[in-house]
Amino acid sequence: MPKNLTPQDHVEGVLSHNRQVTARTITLIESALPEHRRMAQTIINDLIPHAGKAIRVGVSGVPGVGKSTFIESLGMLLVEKGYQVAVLAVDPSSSRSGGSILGDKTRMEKLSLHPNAFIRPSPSSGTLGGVAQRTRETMVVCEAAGYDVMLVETVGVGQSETAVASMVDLFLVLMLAGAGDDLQGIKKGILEIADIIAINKADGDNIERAKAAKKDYETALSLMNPETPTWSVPVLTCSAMTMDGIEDVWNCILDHREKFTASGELAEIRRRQDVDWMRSLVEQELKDRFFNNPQVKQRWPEMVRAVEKGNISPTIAAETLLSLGR
Amino acid sequence: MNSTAETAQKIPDNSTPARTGRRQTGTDDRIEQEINRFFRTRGRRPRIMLGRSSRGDQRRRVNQVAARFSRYGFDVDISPAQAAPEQLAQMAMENDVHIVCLLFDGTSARRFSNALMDLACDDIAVVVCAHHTLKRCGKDPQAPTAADRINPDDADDVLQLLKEVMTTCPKI
Repeated sequence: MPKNLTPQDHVEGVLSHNRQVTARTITLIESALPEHRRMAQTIINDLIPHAGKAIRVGVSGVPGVGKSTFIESLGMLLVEKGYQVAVLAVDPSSSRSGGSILGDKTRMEKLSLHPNAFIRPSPSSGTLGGVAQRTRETMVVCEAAGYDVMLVETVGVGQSETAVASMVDLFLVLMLAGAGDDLQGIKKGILEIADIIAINKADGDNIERAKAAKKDYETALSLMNPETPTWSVPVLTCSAMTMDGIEDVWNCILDHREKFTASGELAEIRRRQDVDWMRSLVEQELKDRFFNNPQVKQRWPEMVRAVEKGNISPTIAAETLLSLGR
Repeated sequence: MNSTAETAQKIPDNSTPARTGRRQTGTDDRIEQEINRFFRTRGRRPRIMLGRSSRGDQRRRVNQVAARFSRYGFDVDISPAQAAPEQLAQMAMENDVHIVCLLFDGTSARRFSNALMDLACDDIAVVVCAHHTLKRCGKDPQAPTAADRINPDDADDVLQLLKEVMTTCPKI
């Protein structure tokens, strides 16, 4: 393995499904060095025409809902059906102190060892372009490398969910029975974003409670206007432990895909997401340019002190800095 | 979608990883410096994978070692418990780690090193965790690998490892 790969090596390696090169390409995307970033951009550009064929599923749920176990179960079901599965994680909990502990693989023991699966936990801190940006690009790499199902995992806290929703075809939200007890516990935002709701851990003596929760969620959903006539959000129950209902969840995902392809909505979603992507690239670039501006860098500490002491109002300080950054 | 709050508080300085709160968690300044240097030249933190051999190595101990390394500023992968040495090597390659810290030694450790060679990943540094875990699960203490032993609690050990990796590992 040559130490330094050219962009061409990266593109060819990824397209020929070379796992090692794919891994290196993802590293490049994760890098915080501007030269790596530029190289990554050219590679992504060459790979984009080969991407886009995969089913992109976002998987979300509060910590403890059993996301990793669910992904392990669904992933195993899929690789056994012959799919190539890539698991990506969007983790906003940027550990600002020290490095990250990337434990995903320990909870996906079977899947992480399967030759048809690619799980690449990514550290959340220290990258240029933000976590969501990087996940989009990683998705392109994995799709170009021939993976046909993308499972994008995210924890159930606001921003990251919206970010993931802007890059997947379908958003699956995992819930627990009895976690919130009543409808108060159901976050409206989550219902708005969900395409499928699955109540996990419906096993043992939890089955009855899961069924009750299913009814509650169905009631709550019936009060909301469906976003599209093509799809009303189904509520399923499953158990990642016993594999009960996992197949149903997958069938539901396929059903969603079929209907949205037929109605043309899938293509529309993807087009909208591309525009989104462009917008966030522009935003990022503007931000980088501003903060890397030498004059801004120089004046920043002074302005921070002045604002802290109350010598200058935040608005005026911001204006001053922005005028420098032009 | 980057949070604007992040940038509002502090001018983002991509030359060093943020280190708020590191003081409280306790680390060594020399290690911190070395990790910052690593980050500036490589574009990411040093990434280390803890290789487990069986469920026998206590989970809590594994977590302690992982927490230790992450507090120093490493990104830490933890391997699944029941992976063959060859599978561990594959995983080290796919996660593109700089270092593998084995929590076992002996024949399995040698199998691991050979598997890494077969994958042409000879730029990945391999060390063996010198700790009581090892005593418990090391099946063949008479046949240790050539790999260095490292005590994660010993800052000097970790620093030396970092310096070695700085010279041997490629830029990416």
